[in-house]
Amino acid sequence: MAFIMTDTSSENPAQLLSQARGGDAGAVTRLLEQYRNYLSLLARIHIDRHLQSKADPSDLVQETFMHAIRDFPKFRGTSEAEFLGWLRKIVANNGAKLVRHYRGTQRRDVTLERRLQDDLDQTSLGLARGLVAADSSPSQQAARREAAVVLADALARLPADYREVMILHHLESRTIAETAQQMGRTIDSIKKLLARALIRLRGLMKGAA
Amino acid sequence: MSVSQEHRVQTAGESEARLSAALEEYYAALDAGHPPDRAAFLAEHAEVADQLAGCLDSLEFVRAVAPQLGEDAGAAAIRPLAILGDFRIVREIGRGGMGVVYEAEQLSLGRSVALKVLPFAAMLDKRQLQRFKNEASAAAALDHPHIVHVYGVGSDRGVHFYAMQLIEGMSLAEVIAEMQAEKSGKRKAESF
Repeated sequence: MAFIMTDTSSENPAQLLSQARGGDAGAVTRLLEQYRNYLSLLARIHIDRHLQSKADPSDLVQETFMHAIRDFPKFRGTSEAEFLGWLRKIVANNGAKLVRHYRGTQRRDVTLERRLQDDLDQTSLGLARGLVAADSSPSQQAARREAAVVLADALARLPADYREVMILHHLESRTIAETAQQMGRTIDSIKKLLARALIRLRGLMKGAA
Repeated sequence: MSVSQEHRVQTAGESEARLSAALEEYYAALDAGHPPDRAAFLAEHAEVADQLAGCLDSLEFVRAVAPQLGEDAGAAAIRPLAILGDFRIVREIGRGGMGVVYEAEQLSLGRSVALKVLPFAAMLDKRQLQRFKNEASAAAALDHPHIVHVYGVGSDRGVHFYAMQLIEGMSLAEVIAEMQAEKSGKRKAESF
């Protein structure tokens, strides 16, 4: 059998999803690769929030990949939105396990799990997602991706300090003063950094559309 | 480097610095809890208005999507988008090749409308946006009892939309399914 190189970035997620559902194990892995930035971002925010950055987000991402591959046959959805919801559930479960581990309790904290799930569960946020269903022409792939995935991918392409300032201020809802403290910079330099990050992000999103 | 090239480079750098300064100002106002009025703010910074508008679209995009990734993932965080300009979104009716159609209430007139909404402007290119505007004005120019009336076009926080007459009834897919069900029911009845 010939070995075919695939450029995962250009593969169509809807098509991969249906291939994966049809039993193509390689498609499951390639599908998950499409969400690496998205999952990394979720894991990072999760750990910052509940473990004050004590754990490594990449471990949580790795665990999520493993569970997703193992449990994929149980996934029943057909859309990207459903797949993301399913992935978020796995991140929440694994995240809760991590929190238990670091807090040194083995007892299952149902309230905690529930809360983590609520934090991650976006099913009620269909509107923002709905705004991003889009163009059917294949050349406009970016426009039909879930907004959260588009944002995660764009953030991943920013220089590290631009990405950091966007995550702390916009995704973790820190004020500019708090962000300045966290990054060990002045308030003025944070404002400058945010402005520059936004200009760069704008360029990336224009390129993606 | 020739003199004119040098001049051009410097101008690009200057305009980037102006754009950055305007955005810093915008961020400071947001952080203080006083988001500036978009149109007025763009007018104040007319010399970089085009790029500034694009950046504000991206900012709105980040702010609208942030709740899906970060804190306060509850429904409340996204609520503001349920209102677009003069319209309150009630439910999704369907999705087409370009955007989603919602049933919405026009607040000023208290009437029900169909609202066609395009994805965040930050995710679109100029051509797509132009196509959407063309579609709206072409539809608005038509006046025929069998063609849906367009009430108006607008944009709010980086999201573009136009409002049309809301027609109650079934989708074509539903009609076809119903006709097929009828037909096969008839056939079944005949075969007995």
